Parts: sequence; structure tokens; C-alpha cells
Amino acid sequence: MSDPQAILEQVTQIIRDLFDEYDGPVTMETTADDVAQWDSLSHVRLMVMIEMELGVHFSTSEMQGFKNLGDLVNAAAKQKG
Amino acid sequence: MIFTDPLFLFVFLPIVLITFYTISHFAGKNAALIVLFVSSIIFYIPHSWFSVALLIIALIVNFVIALAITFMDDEDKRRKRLYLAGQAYNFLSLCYFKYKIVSLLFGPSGGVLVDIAGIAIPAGISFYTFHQAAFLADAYGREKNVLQFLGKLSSPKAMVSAFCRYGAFVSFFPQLIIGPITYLSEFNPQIQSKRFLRLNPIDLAVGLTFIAIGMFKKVVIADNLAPTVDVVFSAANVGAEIHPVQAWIGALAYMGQLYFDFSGYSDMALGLARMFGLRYPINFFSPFKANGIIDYYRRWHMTLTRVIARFLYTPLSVAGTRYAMFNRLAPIPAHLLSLWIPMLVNFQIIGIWHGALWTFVVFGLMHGFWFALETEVRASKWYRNFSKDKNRLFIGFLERAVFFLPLLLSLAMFRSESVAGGFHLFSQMFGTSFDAPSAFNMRYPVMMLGIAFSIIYLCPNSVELMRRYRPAIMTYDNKSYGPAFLRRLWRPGWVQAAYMSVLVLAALYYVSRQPPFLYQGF
Repeated sequence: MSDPQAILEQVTQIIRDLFDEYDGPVTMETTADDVAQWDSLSHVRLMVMIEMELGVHFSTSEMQGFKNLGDLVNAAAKQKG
Repeated sequence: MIFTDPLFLFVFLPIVLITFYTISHFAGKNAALIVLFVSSIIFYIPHSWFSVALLIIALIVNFVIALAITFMDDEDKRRKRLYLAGQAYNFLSLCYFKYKIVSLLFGPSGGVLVDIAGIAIPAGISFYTFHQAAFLADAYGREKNVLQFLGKLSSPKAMVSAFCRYGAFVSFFPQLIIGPITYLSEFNPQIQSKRFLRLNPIDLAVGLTFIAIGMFKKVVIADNLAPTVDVVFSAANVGAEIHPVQAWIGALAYMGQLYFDFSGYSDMALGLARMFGLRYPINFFSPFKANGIIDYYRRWHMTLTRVIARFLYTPLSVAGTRYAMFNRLAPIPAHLLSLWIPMLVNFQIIGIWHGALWTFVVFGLMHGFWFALETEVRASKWYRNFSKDKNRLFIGFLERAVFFLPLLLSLAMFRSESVAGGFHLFSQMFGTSFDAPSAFNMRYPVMMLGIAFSIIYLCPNSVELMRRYRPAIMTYDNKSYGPAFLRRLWRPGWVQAAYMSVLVLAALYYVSRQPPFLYQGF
């Protein structure tokens, strides 16, 4: 399994680009509620950006089921093997 | 049967409750679930034998397919085909019986097919179809509850038991006709729990309280607003001149009627299920207190919103976003594909889910455009800067002021007997027919509106009132709005018993009139 910490760093970069007004911490526990710009529309954009950047593929039910960034990072790490 | 029918409340319900707890005590869980299944079918029989047959066939088809796809390997190509065939059965039968597609396509010369399609719409078909479609999707996605729910299927008897469990899950009478649309992940853990089947007095107390609140909402408020609504909307449909004040009263009365009717029903459903020790997902959480259309759909018919968002909006939006980003589309076409088109399709389906009428199509368009527009505005830098340093109270009032009128007008279109009738009503609301003859005496409707809207804006909703007793499964996390000092908590005791007795007595006074639930027609 790929290193979740390295994936979190890549994801953090994407989050900083997409949610340019957010300057709080990005951790495994971060959720959409923590970031004002993170609504359902930008959630889908974030997922697709992460898919493109990391070369992974999430099903729509996975995208809806992530409880926090940790869930997402672990799912990506598992796929990357 | 309907919930406010005295035959249901005073004969059917007590008999089923006593049988359920007695049988569960002596014969265990499977027998108790069979009692729920059989009693639900008995509950459904008065709607028509044909509807019962259709329900049972739908149960068998979905159960057999769920069973097959659960035990097939992922590599087996037939698994996907079988799943798609099951969903095709669900949605084609819904289209066939609800939308009379055959009669529309073939006209009166379609023979037997038209005869079958021409019968009344089977009660609850929109609800149990979505309920089973979601279950089938869970089985296909190997949701962990499915295997546990089906159990060991080593003998024909175990198979019959599993079918009855499934029958109870789909057709349990509190939610069969008008929802809530429930997921197996919400139902299964409860029936697996050791607490299930244990007769707990607090379940009965909470259940009865919900029934009292729900009956009051439906029979006392919604049904007393109904005559005004009928007069105004019939007049609008024939193009009559309506005094602007009366046109506004009619539109406001329908807003109140729809909410109290459907949320009253939903409260009764929660209460009835709770008497059997079961909790269901919440359908309403003060929708008219919402700060916009996005917030509204997290509070209005929440179980429909989430099932359509899950199976329609999200897959469409994901596909559109992927296409736009892979092809590096410009912002406008990208937004069209990832937001506007999925949203318009989503709301068109929500609209025509209620029936094959142009008024529902227009309603769907209004809400689709509005939802997408609000999403864009809220996401814009301009709005975030505008709202950043402003007083929260000011923003809250402003958002609600913007929200109210489009909501009122779109719900009026939803109720109208024709699109032309809907637009005519709008023209009368903003018109100058001050010399139009009075269509009704305004004192009583205005008083009812005063009561209805005071409850809507000032009172806690039933779930907030009962929150000490975990009355429902929370479909979305919603903030509590409204004055906090009025947000009372229900506790079993004489004071609450006295309040509830007043509600029940008022409801029983009106119950003899018995108009049907509005959502029964959908």
C-alpha cells in the first residue's frame, strides 16, 4: 500500500488550489464542514481532480461515503497498492 | 386503510400490536416479522386486490434477483445483466402503472394492455418501487447488511423466512403507502439488535405522542386549510377574477396544507413504527424555516431527496465533471455539464415522480433552475465577500426573504389544476382585481393561517421536541432554527399528557370528515 502521508500531501495541494480561501489545517480528520467553499458541487470537482492527479478511480457510492479526508486517502492508498 | 381512519387506529393497530408482541414472546423474531408482513398486506387489501398482487409480484422479483446477485461472483457477467433486469422491472412497472405509458402510446386501441394500465394507480407504487430499487442497488454493491439480512438459506423454510423478512422490510404498513423510503442499512441493524421485540413502555409513549402530533397536523390544520385551497385553485383554473388578498390566502393556505398534511403523515409513520420498537428515517425537519432552496431540500421529503441524489444527480454530476475536466472545457460548458444539466434532470424527475402532469414539469423546472442558481451564487466570491462581515441575523433574514416568494409560487404551480391556471393565479396575486366578488369568508382561513404559520416559524419540530428519545434516524444533519427559548423538550408526564390529549381530542373532533392524505395520490 502506498504511503497515506504522501497521498495526503498531494491531496492537500489540490485542496489549497481548489479552496483558495481556506488557510486552516488539512489533516486526515478534515471534513467538508471545516471548509466554507467545500459544497456538494466542489466535492465532485475535488474527487475528480484527485482521481486525475493520483491516477485512481472512485465509484459514486465511494465518493458519497467518505466521512473525512482520511477515508479518501486510505481508499486511494489501497488502490495504488 | 389510512392512518386517521378510526378502524385503523382503534381496531387494526391494537390487534396487530398485541399479536406482534405476543407472537414475538412465544415464537421469536422470524414469527414476529411474519406478523408485520401479513398485517401489512391486510392493511393494503382495501386499496385493491390488484395492487396487492402487483406488490407481491414486485417483492418476489426483487427478492429472487437480490438473492441471485448476492451469491453470484463479481466476474460473472450475468450478475450485472440480472441486476439491470431487476431495475428495469421496477421502473418499467412504475412507468406502466403510474404514467399510463401504454394508453398514451397506443390510445384506446391497445386492447388488454390499455385495460390493465387504465386501472387506478396502485397506492404506494412510487414509494415501494424506490424502496426496492435502493435495496437491489445495495445488494449489487454488496452492502454488508444484505448478507446478514438474508441469513443462512440452507432450507426451503429458511428461504420462506428470509422472504417474509424482506416483505416486512418493504411493506411494513407505517411506511408502505407514503414512505419514508428506507435503506436496509437503517432497518437491518434494528431487527438484529437484542432490544428488538422487547416491549418498552417508552416506545409506546413516544409512538403515541408522534401519532397525536401527526393527527393534529393532518386533521386539524391541513384539512381545515383545504376548503380555501380548493375554492381559490378551482377559480384560478377557470380563469375567474380573484381578489389579490384572496389569491394570496389561497396560495399560502396550500403551502400550509401540503406541509401539515405530509409532515403529519410522516410523524404518524414514525410513531406507528416506534410502537413496534422501530425507528425510521426522518422526512421533515422544519423545511419552511430553511434559508434557501438548497437548505429546503435537506429538510423537505428528505428520503426522496437523498435517494434521487444518490442514484441520479451524483452519477450524472460525476460523469459530467469527469468529461469536463478530462477535456479541459471552458468554465461555462463545464458548469453546464457538472451542475446545471444534472440538476435540471434531477428536479424534473422529482417533479414527474409526483405524476404525469405539466404542472409538475413546470414545478421541476422552477426548482431545478433555482437550485442551480443558488448553488452558483453561494459558491461565488461575490456572495462570500458580501456575507462575510455581515451580521448573521441580517443574512438569515435576507436569505429567508429571498427564499419565501419563489417557494410560495412554485408550490402554487405544483397544486394548480393546469399550468395556465397556475399562471392565472400568479397574475391575480399581483393583479388589481380589487373589485372581484369575494369567493369565501376570510375570517376563518386567516385564523387558520395564523395558527399554521405560527407553528411553522415558532414551534420546535416534532423531532426536536422528542429529541431526548432518539425519535428518528437523521437523514441529513440539520441546524435547529427558530427561537431557542421555545424549543421545549418532551418528557413523559402529566403536563405533556394533557397537551397531547388536547391535540387528540381536537383531531378526533374533526376526524369524521376524513379527506385522504395528499401524498397518497403520488
